[in-house]
Amino acid sequence: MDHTGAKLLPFYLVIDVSWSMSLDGKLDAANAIMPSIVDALAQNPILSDKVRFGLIDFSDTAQVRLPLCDLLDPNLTLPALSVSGGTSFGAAFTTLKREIEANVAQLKADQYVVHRPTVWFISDGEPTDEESSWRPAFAELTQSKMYPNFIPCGVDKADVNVMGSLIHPASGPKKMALYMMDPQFQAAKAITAMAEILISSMIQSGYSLAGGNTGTILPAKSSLPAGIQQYDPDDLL
Amino acid sequence: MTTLPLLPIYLLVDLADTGQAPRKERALNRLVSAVVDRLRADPVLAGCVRLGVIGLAETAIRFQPLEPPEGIDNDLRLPVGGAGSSVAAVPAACQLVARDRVKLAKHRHRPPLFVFLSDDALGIEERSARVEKVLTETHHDATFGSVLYDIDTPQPSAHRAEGDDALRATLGEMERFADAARAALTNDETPPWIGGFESYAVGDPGNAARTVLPKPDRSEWDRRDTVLDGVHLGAVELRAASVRGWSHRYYGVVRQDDYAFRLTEDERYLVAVVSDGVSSATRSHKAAALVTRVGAELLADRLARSDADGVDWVTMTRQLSDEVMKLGERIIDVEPDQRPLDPREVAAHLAATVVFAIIDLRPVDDVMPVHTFAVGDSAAWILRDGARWEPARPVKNAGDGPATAMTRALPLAGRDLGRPVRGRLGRSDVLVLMSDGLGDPLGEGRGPVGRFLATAWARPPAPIQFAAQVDFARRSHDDDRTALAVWPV
Repeated sequence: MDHTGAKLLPFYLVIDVSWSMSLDGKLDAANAIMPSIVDALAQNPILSDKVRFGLIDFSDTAQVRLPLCDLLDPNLTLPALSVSGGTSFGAAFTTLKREIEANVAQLKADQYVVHRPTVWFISDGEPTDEESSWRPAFAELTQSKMYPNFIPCGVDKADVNVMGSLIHPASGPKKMALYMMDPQFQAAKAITAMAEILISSMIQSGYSLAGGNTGTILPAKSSLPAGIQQYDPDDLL
Repeated sequence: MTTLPLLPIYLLVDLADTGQAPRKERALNRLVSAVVDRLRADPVLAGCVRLGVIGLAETAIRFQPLEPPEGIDNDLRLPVGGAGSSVAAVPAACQLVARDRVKLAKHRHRPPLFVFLSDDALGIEERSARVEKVLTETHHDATFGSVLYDIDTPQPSAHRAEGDDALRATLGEMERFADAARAALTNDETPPWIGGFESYAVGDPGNAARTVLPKPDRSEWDRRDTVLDGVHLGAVELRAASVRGWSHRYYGVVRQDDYAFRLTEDERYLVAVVSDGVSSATRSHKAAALVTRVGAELLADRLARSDADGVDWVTMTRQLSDEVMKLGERIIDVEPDQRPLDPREVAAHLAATVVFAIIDLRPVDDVMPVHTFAVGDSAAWILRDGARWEPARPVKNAGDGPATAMTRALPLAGRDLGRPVRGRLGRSDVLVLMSDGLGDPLGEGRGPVGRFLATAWARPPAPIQFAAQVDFARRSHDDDRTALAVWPV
């Protein structure tokens, strides 16, 4: 299909579904993310004409639960997440890179004007695979030409330094940030808050695009929901 | 005898499982099949009604595409279950209906009737208001009714509608609607007017064109949403339109594109200008208005003293840049010690691309010489023989990285200017200057938009029609658009 010149904003939600996510209502909160994004898009036609969303979950392996798509497509059914196994960051990054490359290639073949993808990465713990395996997988993802803007979101037992090292780009005018749950805050509520931040960022990025700018806009620190801290790459040196 | 216009009727069925799914399913399906039977039994309704059934659940599900009553599937069974109509379901239903309307456009038809069927006695008012609001925002002309039915064996009372009452209410809604059609049958008087309007769309029109209610820019009440012209200039016909994009209509921002044209005093040349205010600079529409008006003036002035080959574009661009700087000094509010402003500071508030064309109205061998010059991504095209789009100037290229929004613009482009390009405008050609709001969907002119505009502009259309064509809906293309087209006659 010829879609000459049509602008597209790809988003990916990459979410941890290791065993620990079954505790404390975290999985229910995770399952509520996609419907809340659909509701937000349904109320903003300028944005919903351009946004494509993909959902990847990961435990010992990573699965594409929703290939990059139009979330308002009337024939779409949202997948339900379920838990299993460990927390392989490497599997998540490798699957994500493969998806982005394949999706962008297809969209470009259809003559779309594809903007840089934005990835929201939510994890509730530390990786269970070896650092020597997930670090190179992350480097490959972020060093490719179509590297995404990568926004890590840590809840519950996620480590601030590990998650902080995933911010990409970590420097320059369009650097991203890390969102971390405050210690003692409720993990399920934190996941819901991360979804609020994602939606707010998506809406502001769409507005910014209408103003002739490109790139992922993050919400102002002062507007963050309770229980969440934002770390800029420089805060973690 | 006149044939009746088609009457599209949609049953919008709330499929929420309120805890008694099997009973609700039985009652609902009984109601729907009774409606179908009743439609089949009435010769007038059987002839003109097209019935569609859309379920509202997590999203909208089409159970029955628009069909005449005798074509309705006798085994149609609506499954009850799930959480019921989510926020996304109603816009999704709108999309389904919009698709039908494209098909219906081939036939004479009345605006659709929506009947919302629900068993939710407590929530029906609020929910039906929500459904009605979304549907009628997109389908302004539609009629809407809602019907409450009771899934239990009825105890008729003033408050609870009994099963058969619900059927009567549903049919009542339909018949109220069909009365006008019946009247048309017996009344042969044709109205003393003709005409109609249907907006243009290429491919998927997108959610924006279907659902956005345009907002004004509260800081610029006197800036028009759309401007247009259609004039005869002796040797050529000209059409021009500048139209606010859906994105600016949604966010309440002014149109930042503009155009201007004029004949030289000796009527030898037509001068045309299109400008696109750079949207990251907040008052760019003022730059675009100035660049087109003053640009056309300066150019016509120069052509009074030299021929088109003798125009010094570098000097002219510099003069135009200076004018934008002067405007910047006047309207940009800064402390006195920060003046004079430099071009970069002015460009942060006021910046505009520009494309010029000079059309020599004295043809040589039936061909009019054309000169074009541009700063930035506004484009000039020639539609050859009503069939082939040829760039009159190099086209902005996409490259292979991710998209960015940079373009060259006045007042910054002091050095390294492009060159004027000479072209030829034959008797069966059309010269079109355009902003990138139109240039982007046109691409290289070989896609559906290229075919649409080549067909639409084979001959000069009525000026208002030209503006409507510039305003065609296409998903994700929501930028301001400007086109100025010249046909040799």
